[in-house]
Amino acid sequence: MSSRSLAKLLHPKSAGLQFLQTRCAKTAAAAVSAKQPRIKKFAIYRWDPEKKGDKPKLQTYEVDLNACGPMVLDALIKIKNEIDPTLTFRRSCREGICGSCAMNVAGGNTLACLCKIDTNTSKTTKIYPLPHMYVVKDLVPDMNNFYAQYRAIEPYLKKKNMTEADIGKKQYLQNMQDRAKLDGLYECILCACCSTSCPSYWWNSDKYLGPAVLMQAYRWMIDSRDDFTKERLAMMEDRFTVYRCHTIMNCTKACPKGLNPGKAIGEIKKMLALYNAKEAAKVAEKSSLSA
Amino acid sequence: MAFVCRHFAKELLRGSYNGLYTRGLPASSNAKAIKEMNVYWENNRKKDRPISPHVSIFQTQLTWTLSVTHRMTGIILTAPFIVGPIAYLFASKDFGTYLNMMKSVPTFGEPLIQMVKFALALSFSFHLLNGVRHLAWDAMYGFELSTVYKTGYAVLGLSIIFTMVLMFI
Repeated sequence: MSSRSLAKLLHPKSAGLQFLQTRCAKTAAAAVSAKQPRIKKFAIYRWDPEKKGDKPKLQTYEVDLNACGPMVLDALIKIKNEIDPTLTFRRSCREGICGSCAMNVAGGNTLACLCKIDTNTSKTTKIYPLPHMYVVKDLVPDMNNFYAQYRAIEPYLKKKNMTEADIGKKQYLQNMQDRAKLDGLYECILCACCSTSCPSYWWNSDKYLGPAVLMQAYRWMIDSRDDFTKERLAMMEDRFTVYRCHTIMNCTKACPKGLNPGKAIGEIKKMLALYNAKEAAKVAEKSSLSA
Repeated sequence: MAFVCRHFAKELLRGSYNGLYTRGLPASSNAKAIKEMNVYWENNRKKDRPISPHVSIFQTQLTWTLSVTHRMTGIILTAPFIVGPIAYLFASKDFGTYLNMMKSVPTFGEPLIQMVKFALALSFSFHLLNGVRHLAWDAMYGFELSTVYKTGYAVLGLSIIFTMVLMFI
């Protein structure tokens, strides 16, 4: 049932009138604003690898908000289409599910497609690529290290005592409670907004995995169907892989999907502490039996 | 201080000390991932790509501001324990004499002592209270973003009250 017919059901007499009123109000507003353009300035980070010795700089573009969609990505696309076709950025779904348009808007990491343009036209909105990343061109950072780190945690179901022939023979069932544990973790779209907002990741991205990848590591650690929890934990045992996290919580603040990577890392640290205790207890038990 | 203690305690517990720094992921990691990372670093250095701006452009947020303050107050609290004894080795008179010398400096003496006292009191209050916040996180409490902000502001407010109390002692 469409929302309009629902409205008619609820207010059978007034619905038609209300609809007319809203339409009139909208046309009136459009007529007024068409006379006065709302010019918004965007200062965008530019760097061209083709130009030898090019230094990164901010380039300012002016966009009339009356003739532009509401989101930062709309403005970027408008600039690329109508003002400067050389402006380079990644985008795909325009609805916050692909994670391509992750960038730093007005100082905070977010998806351009989910970030509303600040309609205060007296302020210039600054747009940078994701912080502390190698820049390929303009707003496009090199994500290959991030993806390699994701590969490193082996983000797929791993079973023990299985051969190639066993794959696909039976389902691995999961009860509702175990499935519920994955909520708030599996929704991650790997846009890297959180990882590139983390100062620890800025200084140690070669050794520290960063919030996004660690949250996925945790997602596989606690999957009731996975047999490699201990091995997954053992990978985190050195001082950088997970312990560079100092609970700054920039990650959770940044996440455009409202997830909580900081909490997931906390859970990994807790699992590491408890897992060590258990291992130690087992070793102690064995030695007391043999003695 | 906490960092130094934690670092060496962990090293001793591990039973093997292999220097402050290692490179890359642990050797046991996925070989393909390690190879990809090596290609990444080599490629980017060769192409001489710029690194996108970070500290200079990042929004001021309570999250990282408190984290930086925690570090700085930690340094302020630790410094007297390292600098103090070393300086004392070369001192010919006792602490009280120097304090009285400071006090006798016209106009600047007394305010300077008060400023040092204030810095130490504020650092102590903040580091203590925010340390409790960190302990709560270690025990998996207070990770929701709204809670992070509430406890953050609470730490700021309480540390100012604590500082005032300490200043009047």
